[in-house]
Amino acid sequence: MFVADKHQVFVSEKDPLPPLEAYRGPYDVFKRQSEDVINRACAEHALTCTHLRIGAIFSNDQVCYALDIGDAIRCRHSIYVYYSN
Amino acid sequence: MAEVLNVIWVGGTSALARTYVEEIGGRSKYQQFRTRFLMVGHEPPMAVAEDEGTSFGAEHSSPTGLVASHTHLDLTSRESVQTLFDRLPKYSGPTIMVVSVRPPLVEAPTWPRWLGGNDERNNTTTRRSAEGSQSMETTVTAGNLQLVASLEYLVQIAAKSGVLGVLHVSSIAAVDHLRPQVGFKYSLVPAVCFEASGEALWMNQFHWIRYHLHFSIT
Repeated sequence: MFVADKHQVFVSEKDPLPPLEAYRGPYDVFKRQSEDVINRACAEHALTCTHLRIGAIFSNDQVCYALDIGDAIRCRHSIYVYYSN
Repeated sequence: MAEVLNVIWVGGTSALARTYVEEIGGRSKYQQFRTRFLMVGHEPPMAVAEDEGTSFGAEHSSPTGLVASHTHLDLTSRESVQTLFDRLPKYSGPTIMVVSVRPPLVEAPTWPRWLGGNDERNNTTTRRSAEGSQSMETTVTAGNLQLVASLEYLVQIAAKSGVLGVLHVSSIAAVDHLRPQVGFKYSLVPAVCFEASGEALWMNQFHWIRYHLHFSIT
């Protein structure tokens, strides 16, 4: 199975990340490369480092970037869903 | 007196940063710490209204002990990265750095060629590699490659400036996180959208349109 078709939830942190070539979107590639260079720089300088991989963020912002699930929730409760970063 | 914990938030003009500061920032469960947020990004967040109680535009303090300030950073400029810690408001005490970066937060906007601008940073290159019987493509932009290099430099500078740790808001749950979350198909978006103003911005537009269409229908 192509690695990009893996489920995106409940992925263990012990699972190795897919190869860089498995990422199709430029933004995903950017984020993955960012992890790699931050790991490298932190290791060089003995900094602690954590990568936070968030699926979605509920935000106070008035701009709505809809998720599929966000659409459904927002219709009923008029909340804002932010995700991107 | 509580010790001050400094949080340098790169990309601190995002809705995520704003929400965190508004909802959590001033109520640290670690009572021995008073948090000072040093927000860093390309420009102060215009969307943050003064009357909503939190402003990153100028340094201020609140009864909760929150102190926030904004310092300009253009991650595409090596000089801007190099001088960041000299330009930050003076601080002392333990310091951590949050890296929460997407291009619109940390670089000057670029205009596409068809609007008379120089959009070389948005030019994409496609790398192919074979895995098993499948040929896979990875699309990268020149701008993103430059940002990645700048991030590494930023962490090196931060380490030399006494930062103790880095929290990177990565957001990639596994791979291609946008596709399974929103049913986004890269192949359905004209290439000009990616070239126009950076992927994230256009995808936000895409979702905004989708959102309003949704409401107009329902």
